Order: sequence, then C-alpha cells, then structure tokens
Amino acid sequence: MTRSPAFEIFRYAAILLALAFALIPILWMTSMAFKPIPEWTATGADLTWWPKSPTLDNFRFIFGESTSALIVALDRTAGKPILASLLSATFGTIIAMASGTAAAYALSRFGSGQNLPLALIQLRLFPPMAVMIPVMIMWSFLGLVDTWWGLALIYGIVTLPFAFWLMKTFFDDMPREIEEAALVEGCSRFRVFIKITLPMMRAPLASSALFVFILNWSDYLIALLLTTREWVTIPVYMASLSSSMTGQLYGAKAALGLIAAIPPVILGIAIQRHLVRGVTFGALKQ
Amino acid sequence: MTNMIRVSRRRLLASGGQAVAAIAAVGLAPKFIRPARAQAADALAPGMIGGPTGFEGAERYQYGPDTPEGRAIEAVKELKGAGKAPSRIVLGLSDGSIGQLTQPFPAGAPSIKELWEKETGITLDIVGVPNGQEFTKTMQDISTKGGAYDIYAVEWNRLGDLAETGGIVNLDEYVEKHRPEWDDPERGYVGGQKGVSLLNQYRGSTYGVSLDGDFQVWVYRTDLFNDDAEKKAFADRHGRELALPATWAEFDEVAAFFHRPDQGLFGSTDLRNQGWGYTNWYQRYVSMGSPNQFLFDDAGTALINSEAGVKATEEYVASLAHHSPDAISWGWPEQYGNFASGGAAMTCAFSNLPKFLDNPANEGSKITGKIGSMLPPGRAIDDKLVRRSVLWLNLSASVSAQSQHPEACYLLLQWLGSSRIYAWMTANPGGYFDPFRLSDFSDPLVRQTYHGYHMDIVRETVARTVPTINYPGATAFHNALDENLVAALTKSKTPEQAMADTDREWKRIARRVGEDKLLEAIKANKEAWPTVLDPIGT
Repeated sequence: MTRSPAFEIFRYAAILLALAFALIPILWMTSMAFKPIPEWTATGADLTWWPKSPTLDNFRFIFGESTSALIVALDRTAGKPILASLLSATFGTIIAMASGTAAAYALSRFGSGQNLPLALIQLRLFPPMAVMIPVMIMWSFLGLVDTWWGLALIYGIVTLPFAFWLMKTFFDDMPREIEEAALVEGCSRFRVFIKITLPMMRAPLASSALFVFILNWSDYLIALLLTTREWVTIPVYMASLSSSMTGQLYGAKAALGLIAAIPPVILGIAIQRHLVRGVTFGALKQ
Repeated sequence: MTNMIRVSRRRLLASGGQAVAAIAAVGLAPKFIRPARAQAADALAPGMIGGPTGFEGAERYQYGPDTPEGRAIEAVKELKGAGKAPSRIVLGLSDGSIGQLTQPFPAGAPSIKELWEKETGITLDIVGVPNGQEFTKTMQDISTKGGAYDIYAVEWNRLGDLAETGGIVNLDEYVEKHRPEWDDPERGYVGGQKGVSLLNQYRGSTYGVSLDGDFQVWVYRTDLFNDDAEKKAFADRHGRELALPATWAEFDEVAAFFHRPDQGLFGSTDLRNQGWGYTNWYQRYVSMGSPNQFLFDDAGTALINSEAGVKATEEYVASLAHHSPDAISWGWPEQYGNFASGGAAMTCAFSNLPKFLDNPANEGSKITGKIGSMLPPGRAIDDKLVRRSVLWLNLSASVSAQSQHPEACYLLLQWLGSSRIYAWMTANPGGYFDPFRLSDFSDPLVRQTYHGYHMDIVRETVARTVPTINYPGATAFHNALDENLVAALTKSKTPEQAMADTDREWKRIARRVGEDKLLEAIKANKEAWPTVLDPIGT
C-alpha cells in the first residue's frame, strides 16, 4: 500500500516534533555544560544555543579544580557522589531483579502466594514521604543511614514491585512446554530455571533491569532523606550546586547532568540487542 | 675518564653531607629564623590568651581570659582536663556557610576551624546540609534518633518548634555559668536583652545561639538611578524626579518604570516563591499600621483577614507585573544570579548581596561598583513614614539532646557567636553568615567586605525590622500563610479568599498549639517589634 505524500510529510513532521521534544533538553544541557559563566544566563538577547567560548571549566570545577571564573569553592567534589550513585543504583538493581525474578517465577509457575502481588504493590500505593518516615527510623536504628549499602537495600525494596510485575508478565507469556519437556527428560526444577528459563528470559531481564536501574539512578527523595554527607548521590549533590557569587551554578549542574547521563546510556547500548526483543516479548501469542 | 669519576669517595661523602646540611638549614630556617615583623604578626597581643594571628589588625579579634571567648576556651580546657570533653564535635551546617569556618581569612590568618582545634584540641567536624533543608534534616535527626549531629543550625524562628520536640538542649545552666554577654551594650545584640530574647530564647529559656543577621535589605542599581537619560525619561513620564522610593506606591511606580524585560531588565526581583516570598508580603503588611500592623492582637486573634491584609496581598500580587515571569519559582540563587548579570533595577535580599556581587573578585558580576543600598519603602501614616523590613531565615545553632557532651558544644557556640570571633567570621566572604551584633557594624574588616555604604543602611534597616513568627507552631503558621499567598499569586484564590483561608488555618493551629503558650510567645515577640518612625520626605 502506498501512502500519500501528504501523509508522509505529516508522519515525518510528527517524528521530528517528537524528536525535538525529547532531544532539545538534552541538547540544551550539553551546550550549557560547555558554556562559561557569562553565557549561563542571559538577560534578553544574549541567549545562544551554542557556547560562544566553549570551555571545560564546568567539568574541572565539579572535580575540585577551581578556576578563576568559578571563584566559589566546593567543599566536596563530584567524585564520591558519582561513586555513591553507581554503587547504590547497581546493587539496588541487583537486589530488585534477583528477588523480583524469583518471586515472579514462583507465582507464575506455581501460583503460590496469591496475595503476594498485592502485598508488593502496597509499597507504591502510599505517598513516598509516608513510607519514608518509618524507613528513616528503621535505617537509623540499623545504622544504615548515610551508607551506600543502606541506599542499595532501600532501592532494591522500592523497585522490587516493578521488577516483579514486569518479570511476571514475561514469565506468564513464556511457553511452559519447553520447561515441561526438560522436566520430563529428568531435569530438576532448579536446573530448568537456571539452564532453560533464565537464558530464554535474557531480553526481558535486560529491559527490566535497565528500567529499574534508571529508577534507582534518578532517585532524589530517598537519597536526600537517607544520606547526610559521605554517600550523597548525584541528584542530591547537584541540588547543592549554587552560590551567592553566581546564583545557580547552571554550567556545573549541566556538566554533572551530562556525566550522570552516561551510565544509563552505556547500559542501554550494551543491552540494545535484548532491549527491542525485551519490550516486545510476549506481544504475540503463539 | 671524566672528572666525576675522579672524585674520591671521602670527598663525595663530604660534599653530600654539606649539601644535606645546607638543604636542611634552608628548610628549617623559617621555623627558627623569623623576621621580626612576621613574629609580631604571629604573636598574641599582651594580655590576650587566644584568637587569630598572622594578619594586620588581628589583635581586634583576640581575647583575654575574662571575655566570653576566653571563658569558653578555658572552660573547654577544664572539661578536657576532667576527661569530660569529646574528641570531636559534629556541626550540621548549611552548605553555603561552611566556607566561613574553613577558609582562612584574611591572607595569613588561620581558619575558624583551625583556630578552634588549635586552642582546644577538639576536632570540629562540619557536615554540610543542603541550603533550605536545614530544618528537615534536623527534624529527621530528632525523630529518628539518628544522632548524626551534636549541633544543629536552623532558622531562628524554629527554636520554639524544636524546643517543644525535646530534641534540643535548654542552655540556661551553661549561659549562667559561662556568661556569654550577648546583651553587652557595645558589642552585644541589637536591642540588648530584647534581641537576645528574640533570637536565642523560647518561653524565657535559652535554646539557641544566633549565628546570623538575615535582615532583609533593599539594594538598587546606582548606574540606573544616576543616569541622566533615565532621570529625564522618568521626570517626563511621572512629573517628578527619579529618586529612591520612600513609599510602596513610589516603589511600584519606579519598578514599573525600569521594567523592560525585552532588554533583560526587571523592575524589582524581591522574591515571590514558596518558602521565601512571604517575607516580602510581610514588609507590605506590617507597614500598614503605625507603629506596626501586627499579625495578632494581644488576645491572640489573627489580624490578617482585614482590610490591611487584603490590601497588602493585592499589592503583593499586582507587583508581579514588574518581576520576572518566573518570579513564582525564583529562589535566591536565581535572584542573585540575575542581579549579578545586571538583570534588575532593585531587589530585596540578605545583607550579604553586596559582599558577593559588589566584589572585584567576582569576575562574573557585571554590577561591581554599581550597587547602592536603601531603606525599605513604607507608608505615610499620621504624618510619619512607617518603613519596615523583616528578619527571615537567620541561622541559629542549638545543641542536640542526643549529644554526649552538651556543655562542650555550648562552649563552642559561645566562642563562635561571641563578638570578636563572630566579627572575624562574618567578614569572611566565604559564606552566608551576616553581621548582626552591634560591634559588627563598625568593625573595619566587616565594613571592608560588606562595604561601608551598605553597613550604614543595614544598621538602620535593623532598627526597622520586624521578626517573623517564632511562636510554637511557627512552621505551621508560616506554611499556611505561604500556601495561601502562592495561591493568590497564581490566581487560584483572590486576595480576600487567601486571607480568609489563612485566618481559618491559623485559628486551627492556635487551638492545637494551646492558647496560653501562644499568648505568652506573641507577647514576647511583639516586644521586639520596632517603633522607629521616619519623617515624611526622607
């Protein structure tokens, strides 16, 4: 079927519009990251898309190398917050995916714990602040405040429902005949899960893990409440980038934002092969 | 064969030894062979037992044994001798204020932290708290029994709320024992005992030590106000000379005149956002009566749901016309950044604005040398001008009830908040702590950093400043007012509705707090309100 030229023009215009909507903020952040202070904010007509005098000062600044243009001194650099984000988001994702996948498989295959889905989703039914107050008290009692492992644990808990529900959908859609065939051949249930089911679920696992990782990586509220100094994450650290000399340190924030975008992008590219399959897994019933 | 090879082993060892001795002498010399001038700068003045050294005028900040600073240090040493002092004290402090304690100032001086640690041997561990999160972090530590800090530093008017939680220590015993002399008529707080009561006490007991002077002060652009073309244009349009606004009506007129968003210039950028904007509503409201339009009457009845409250709110909303279109979301970082780039004709900010923006070291500021200060606008009532500003934020430090060494913590605060150390600290451009003690306004180092023209206006503004609510329930009272004012700014409520709803919520809060407690606090708060009236035409 051939489409009319008008339709094609409309289609491409819509795609371009959607792309612009998605990419302009990223483009702006990238441009801002390389702008010197005078170009951060504009009074009137000075606003430019591209830096007039590109500089790496913003990157140097957040890593503790003060320049003459950025005369405010940071009492801590971005290095530790980046490490904190990486550790807490990664281990939080591992916890959520491991627990969520196991629970989803059990429920999908054995139907045990019928109330589990509702129990898990309860954590997401309340406003985050309401949930966080008792969590703060518990974490304080357990000595987990301001530790990356404490953050990783709570990230694993709060993203567990997502991991569970996503994986359960995938397990439900996966044909059971393959597993049954293996069982008939004498394979144990555990070996079936490890050797047959999980390899087949690589794509759904990858896409779910990416989704969970991004949720953990971009969290602000939990990290703000559960960290004080040593293990503040990138979003919390970013909020502190302001000074009386220059107001908001837009360039420094953009530079850090650009760095913060790297891990999810790398992860996305690394699992790209599985991603498309993951998001379409089970779309067609056999 | 080269010459080097011909050198004997004995000669080589002898030369090496001489070289090592020479290098060691050069390296060690400064320790023992000091020029007379350097030694003098590093020494304490006669009779002094402590304080900074290493810069010209350091003796002004040094102290003898019978001063609040000297008594604090000596008492710490006694505690140490008795084994009752900690090895470290953890101070939670807003990120932007840390520099004043950790960065040496002026050149040659130690930092505040270094001096404390040198004189007491107690490590001062400063934990940064994101600006604006001070109260949240403190309440979090209190409610979870986290024990992350020995000392909290939060807005001064939260003392009542914190004291009611039992999370901070009553300091009366230590104040009586170590005599901080906060009400000293020459070096103490503005207003003497009334000032002490306002800033450090709750229901007659000391719970905090003020470490700030956040009197909101008006500044303007001298290059615009002194420009002949601007003067002529203003006179042509309004039939009067361009001058600093004395009344709110004049202020709105001048702000509208300079408001040229297409040229990147706003008339005024005094804040309108949630959490801060209501301080600028305060200024318009409290100047509605002479000597003051109070928030509550003596019987504890709220007065804001009135003609004065509605008119102040109407003005407050109408003034958005000469602000940034983003005024409702602008906080001080945006305000400071915009003013530094020459984006506004007038603004009202912390007293430190000229310290940061009229500063040759701030290469990003386009307005260095172009800032002037002015008294707050007011209203003509009974042939007098009622000009009022407001005290808002103003960090005050309190000792955590979870601290194992409350007395040592208090002694740190007595030392830090005393006139000599505080003046030296507030002069440091590395942070947000601002002058508030009588001795600060005349201190040469403070005047150098804050500028003489500004300090004189700050002192006069202090005399015309009303305190914000510091009664029990202060947070709830302010939140109710704040939310309704934002609703009025966003046009989701009329000014009448906003005031009526605030009034209703305040009644509910008052019932919850308890009227007896409230009446006592209202009375104490009112005693600190100013009575200064200016002649018309000034």
